[in-house]
Amino acid sequence: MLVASALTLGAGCGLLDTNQPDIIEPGGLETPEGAEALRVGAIHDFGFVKDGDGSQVGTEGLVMLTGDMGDEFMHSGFIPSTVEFDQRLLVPNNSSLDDVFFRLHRARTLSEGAATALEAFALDPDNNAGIPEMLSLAGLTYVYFAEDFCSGVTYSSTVNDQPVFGPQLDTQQSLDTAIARFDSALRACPPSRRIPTSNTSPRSGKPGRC
Amino acid sequence: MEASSQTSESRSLGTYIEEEIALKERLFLTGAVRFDDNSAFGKNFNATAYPKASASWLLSEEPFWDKGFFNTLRLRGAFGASGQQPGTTDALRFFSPVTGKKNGQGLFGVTPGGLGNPDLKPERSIELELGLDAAMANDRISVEFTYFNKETRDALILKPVIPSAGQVESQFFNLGKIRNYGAELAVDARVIEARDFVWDLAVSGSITHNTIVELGVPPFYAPGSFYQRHVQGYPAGGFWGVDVSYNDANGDGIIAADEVTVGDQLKYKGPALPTQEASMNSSMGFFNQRVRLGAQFDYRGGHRIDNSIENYRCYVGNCRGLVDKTAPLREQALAQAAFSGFSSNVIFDEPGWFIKLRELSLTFYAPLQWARSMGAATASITLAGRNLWTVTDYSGVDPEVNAFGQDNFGASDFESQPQVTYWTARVNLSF
Repeated sequence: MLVASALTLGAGCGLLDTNQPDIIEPGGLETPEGAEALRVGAIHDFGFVKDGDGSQVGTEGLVMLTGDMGDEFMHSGFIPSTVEFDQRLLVPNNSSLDDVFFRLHRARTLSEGAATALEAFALDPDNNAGIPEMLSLAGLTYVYFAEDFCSGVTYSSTVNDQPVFGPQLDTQQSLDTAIARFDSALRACPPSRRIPTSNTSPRSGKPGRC
Repeated sequence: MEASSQTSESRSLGTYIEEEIALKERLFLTGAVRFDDNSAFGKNFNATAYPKASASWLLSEEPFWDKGFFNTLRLRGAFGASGQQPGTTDALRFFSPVTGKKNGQGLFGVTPGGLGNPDLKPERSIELELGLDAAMANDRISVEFTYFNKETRDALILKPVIPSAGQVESQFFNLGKIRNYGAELAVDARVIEARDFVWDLAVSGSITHNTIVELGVPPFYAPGSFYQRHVQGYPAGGFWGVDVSYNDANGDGIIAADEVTVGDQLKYKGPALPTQEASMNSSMGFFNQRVRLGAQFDYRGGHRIDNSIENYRCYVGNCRGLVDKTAPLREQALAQAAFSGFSSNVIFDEPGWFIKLRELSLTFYAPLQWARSMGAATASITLAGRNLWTVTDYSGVDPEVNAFGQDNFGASDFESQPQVTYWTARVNLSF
């Protein structure tokens, strides 16, 4: 017992604290630079889910997969899970579909998280164009879910570092959420970037273009 | 060409206490306990203790023992706990760096790298070993036998994360209980000892059974695998797939797509890892040990192998089962099932057993005067071949392949390079 206590004490004295230079812990992102890194990461992941990894045989993006499903392509690849799209013989655990579904959700949570981080940590959040940019990306992910997946998409979240199942939204609810994100983006648009238009003038109550 | 490097730091803090007692040089007792703490443990978990105890009784040294046939006989038993710590960053929630681009300039970005688990603790194993060591016939035969029963609690298992959380694909948990038990036997013997000829033979074998006793969560696929699942009551990462049945209704000896029925329930097909292993080494010395001929045979069995590459060939319409009318009906049925688009659940599992002539070698030890003429103390030349011959029921190229390297939960033959057959000639000179 004494030895165990000594070990606990040793650990408490920081003897087991380590330096992991290849990773960034969440606390390290609670700075203006960290919030900006989240924004860049969100754009990176959004591009990845849309376009894939750009290789012939690697991860397919949303554009290629939906193109395959829409018969814009025939046998666009030799990966079995992709061929299933072509043949309309998808099994529930089709890995390409799982992958793009997961990556689209990652783009969603990252862009929403980046918007929140920029609001909290950016030096001048009222004039930070990254916030409406992130909210717009988030809105686009909801549009993609509504357009490309069956009604009833689950939108989960992470609470206290653990994933928690979220609500299922039907297609209309997904599109409504997308509109809500776009409206938030317009409201968050820095005044210097707002471009009023005839039907979105201040009198109309709509925020205009950004 | 791209180059990359990774750096991770791990720290352990531990202490160890051991006491050994020898009674009349016949009975040996050992007791020990080790306390460990590690930086890889979750923040909610502190140090852990691993006790162990062992006893060894040299029975053949007892006064009552009649050393007739046995020269020595030792009985031994050991009980102990051990642990496997998580990976360096498995318990941490972290982001990984990515590079974004703007106007050709690289920008620093981050993306989720790990979800972490603050409760992560070491995988803890408790093992009981009972066995004996014996030497007999004037030490010409030695035997080792061990029975083991190892129970692993809080097994570190990578579990898929719900994809709609948009974080990472998998996360480590301490899940359930896994049991491994079995026995090992090794026999070494000098079978023949004559003036000009000796023959040494070593045979070893083991039987291992693996079962998930408790899983703690519903069954799930091993991440990255189509067919290997963790299911309570079955081996970890065992193969699962749907049944494929057929009926050659028109009796033409050809199975068409509409004569195949693909089940909708996943069924256990067998373990992915061998449950039986054996090895035999034979070494013969001729002409007063001037020439030695050695051979090693390996056996693995009791498991299944996933012939994913044949599955894939059928999937794209280019396998024997689809194009050869003389192919066995079952092969045709599997091919039709895969071609019809069910390959994600239709497993092409086959018996994985094999016997391999792992090595054959011939060594010539040169007379001393030959070695001295080259300025050496001794000289020999060896010609050796490896992976020379395989006996198996597996229809693929080699039953000893894994597309996922050493990953226990990714056993598959998919575009895998078989074990290479090669010959070497080696000259040994010692000075």
